[in-house]
Amino acid sequence: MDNVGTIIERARAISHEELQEFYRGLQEALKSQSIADVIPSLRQLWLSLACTRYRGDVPPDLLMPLWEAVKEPHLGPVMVRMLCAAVLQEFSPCQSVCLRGGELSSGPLSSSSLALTLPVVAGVGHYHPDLQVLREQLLAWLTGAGQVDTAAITHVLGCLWGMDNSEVITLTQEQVDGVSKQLCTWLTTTSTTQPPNPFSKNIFSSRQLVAVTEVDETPSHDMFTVLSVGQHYSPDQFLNMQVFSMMRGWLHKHQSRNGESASMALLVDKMCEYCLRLLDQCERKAVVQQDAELQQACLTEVILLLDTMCQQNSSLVPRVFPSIKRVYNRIQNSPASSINIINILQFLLHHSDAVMYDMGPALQHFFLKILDKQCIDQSLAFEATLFCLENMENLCNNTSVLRKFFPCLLKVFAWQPKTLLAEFVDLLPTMVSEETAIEVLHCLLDLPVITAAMETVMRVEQRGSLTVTDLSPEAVAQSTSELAYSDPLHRPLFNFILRAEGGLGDTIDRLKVLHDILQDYSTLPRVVVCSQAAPVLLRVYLQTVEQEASVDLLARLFPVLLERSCLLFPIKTFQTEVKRVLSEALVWVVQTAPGLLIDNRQEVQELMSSPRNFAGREDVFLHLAWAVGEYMSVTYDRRCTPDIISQYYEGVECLLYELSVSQLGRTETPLQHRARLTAVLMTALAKLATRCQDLMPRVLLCLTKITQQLPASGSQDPGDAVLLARAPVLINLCRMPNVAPLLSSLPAETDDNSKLHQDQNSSSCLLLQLTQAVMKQSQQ
Amino acid sequence: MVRSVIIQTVTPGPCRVLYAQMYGCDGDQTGSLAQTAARGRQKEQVAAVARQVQSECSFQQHCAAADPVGEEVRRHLSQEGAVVPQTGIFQMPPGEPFGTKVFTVWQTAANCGLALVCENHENRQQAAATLSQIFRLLRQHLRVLTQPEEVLQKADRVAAILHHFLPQGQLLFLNSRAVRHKEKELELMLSGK
Repeated sequence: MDNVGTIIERARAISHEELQEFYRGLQEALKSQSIADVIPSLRQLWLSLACTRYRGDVPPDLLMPLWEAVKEPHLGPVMVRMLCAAVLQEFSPCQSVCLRGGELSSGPLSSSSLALTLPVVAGVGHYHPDLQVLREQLLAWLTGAGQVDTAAITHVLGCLWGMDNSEVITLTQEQVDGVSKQLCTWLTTTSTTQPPNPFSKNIFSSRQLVAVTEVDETPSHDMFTVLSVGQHYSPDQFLNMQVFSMMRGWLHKHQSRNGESASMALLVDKMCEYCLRLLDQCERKAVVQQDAELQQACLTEVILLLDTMCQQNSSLVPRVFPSIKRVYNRIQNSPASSINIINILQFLLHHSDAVMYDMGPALQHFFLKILDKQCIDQSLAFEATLFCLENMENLCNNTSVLRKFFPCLLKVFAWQPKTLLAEFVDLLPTMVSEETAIEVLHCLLDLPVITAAMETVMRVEQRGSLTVTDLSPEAVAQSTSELAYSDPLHRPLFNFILRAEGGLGDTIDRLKVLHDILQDYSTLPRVVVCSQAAPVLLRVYLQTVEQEASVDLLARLFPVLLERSCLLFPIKTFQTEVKRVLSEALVWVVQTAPGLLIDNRQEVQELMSSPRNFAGREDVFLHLAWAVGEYMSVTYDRRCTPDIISQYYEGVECLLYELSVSQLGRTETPLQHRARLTAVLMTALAKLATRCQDLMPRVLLCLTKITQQLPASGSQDPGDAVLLARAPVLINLCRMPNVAPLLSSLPAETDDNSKLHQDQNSSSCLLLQLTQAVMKQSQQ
Repeated sequence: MVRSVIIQTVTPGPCRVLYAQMYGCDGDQTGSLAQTAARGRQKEQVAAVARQVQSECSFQQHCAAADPVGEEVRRHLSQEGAVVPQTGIFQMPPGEPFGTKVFTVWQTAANCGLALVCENHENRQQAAATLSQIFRLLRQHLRVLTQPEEVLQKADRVAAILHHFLPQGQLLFLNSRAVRHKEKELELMLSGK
């Protein structure tokens, strides 16, 4: 029984009258003194509002007590007030809440009151009745004009920054400076001693003041930071943590390139100091695991902060660069810090020019030694992908890493095809260049193979590090792939498919062997999803090549397209989809460079020599046959001699006879494709014949034979009717050798004469109209 | 800044959002939408994220189920009482569904999922750490793994947890003692001081 579903449906099913009744009851309860008993009803109220989008408000008589409860601490225990605030936030933004939010009083307010009211006010956002007044009020509290205690300042700061960040309020330069000055003060003047236990009931403890410590428990001698550890914390220390947490956003928004004000410059300076201190603190060995994780997160934040500050003020680079370099040297071989290496690389991309630092080795180290070894680590993979994406232009123009390490990146994709597809659609074009295009194509066509290979390696490694002994039988049995991976004969195949660097070779001879080994894994969910995503990337690849390719590249591409159309990993839907894409690619490749049919005539003729090759490659076959008919002509390539045309003719005619006449041809080819192929072949034959007059009698004979054979064969194929209709058309066409070449091919693009008969200003149009008139006359 | 915190169910079937807190608003919203429409839009945004989390979680579960050795390890771990949540992260482009590009970190265990939707430049490690912290607290103060419906019935507890550990959508860098301090404050608040 789905409890969640039941509860939600029941809450949605409450009728309007019942709801109004409930509101009235709640109103009464809130007015009474025993507000503490109201929690169950308030929870019910929250649920009835949250379960649907159609109940967006409560009557004002109920709203008033709710809002009063949030504002006035003495009206009830904090959990009741928290619940009231949650209810108000649930149906915010809402007219009534907005109006209430506008009436923040300006008297002395305790932190308890502000803590709950400000989030509600912030939730109102743009719908607030008077944002100017609110802004002034918040700023007054922040800069000390109002009497608010330090604990409350954190809430005010949070509210102000939240609204500034979402652009609900806009701060003037002067206001930004005022706040920056305060932030600076809070960062630098935090106490470094541990306060007494605020939760203890003993208010007369006479404990000595103890200094905060570092994460490795040594006493601290420098300013307080988020990595300073104490038994308890005072409000100003929490304020320090909050200021640091919001600082990067603040600087990103308000630090400008063109001359900083004095306050901002001071803030940046102090922030630099704080960051450098944090870098030192990150070198210490933390006693508690949670602190070690915080060190990593802080390291990320500091590097990103320094990057932001240096981007706006490049004079800071020489000051911070030595520390960054020291950090890099320390962490470059530490797997736990891989994400920070990416952040440092980003810093270097932006600033290494300023300090004449060559970041080539660092990039190489990252791709080869780090990403390659950890490409199944989800967060690292995500970070690496975003790093490449966000710095795409820089990496493309100033380095060659994307073109060199694309196999590594495609491995990252192969492991998370679902999550990273959109990112890789944008990233793929950067990997394709004249040198890498063919290898990239092979990689894309083998993406599911890469996934399957990675699954194999993962399982082998898992098994190797297993400490659990009582495994189930399924877990104990090793699969074919795992055995093959451990076999030295087959290991090189895995090594090739899982390589990190391109340029070692486009593909291997024994690819089919690898496909067979990994066939068992073709049903794994990850492999299946990858096989669905791969055609998407393939299309992106082909679009890129279409825009940029040289004739030379197309010449290298054509045989690969032919060859790979029958060498694909055995997943049915994958093969169908990829073959469709490849056949479309073949068409435009030949359209762009028709001469390829002449250069590759041996491969093409071999492919078309038998109907057996048709099985599983229908689209490729059809498109190729059409292309042969269409583009084997002198208008497309001067080298197209009658000899070559005759050779193609022989092949096509042979195939056509086999297909339509012989019994063998008919049983091998599936019925629905046979008619289509026959039609295309017949047309191609006719077109070839129109260009080489010697073949004319042969084609007439062939077509006539077919028209005679088809009805006699007794087949039930409805496509035969089409064939029987088309054959006479082609025969008639071939009987007009003068006009046949023109009619049978597409006009060349430079040919302006194709629409002469429609052009009102040309004589041919006039003549046609005259002829038509005369003929009409004579018929009457 | 965190844009949204979402608690949801993740088993196959309709994806139920149990709790959703929004912070900030899209830059393109200038109060021009009618207020009811604005709330409706927020609900849609949350639902879109929740569906994607469910889909990613389901994919990971399928992959894990197809790995017999890994399954055995996980089975042993859960027998020893350790909860190994599934985690993940993905990005959503601007406009779908939030106005700007956002990334979502998520964690699921049993039928309960928790997701934080953050602005794109936010510190991802800290987001993941905060997510873990909040999930741990949810397991501690509400029985989300066995009875996710408690989130619907005790929204005040969820609100209290978020109030302390994600105040107004701000990710906080808290060391272990600071976390302990805040946990004590939370416990005091929950016990109804």
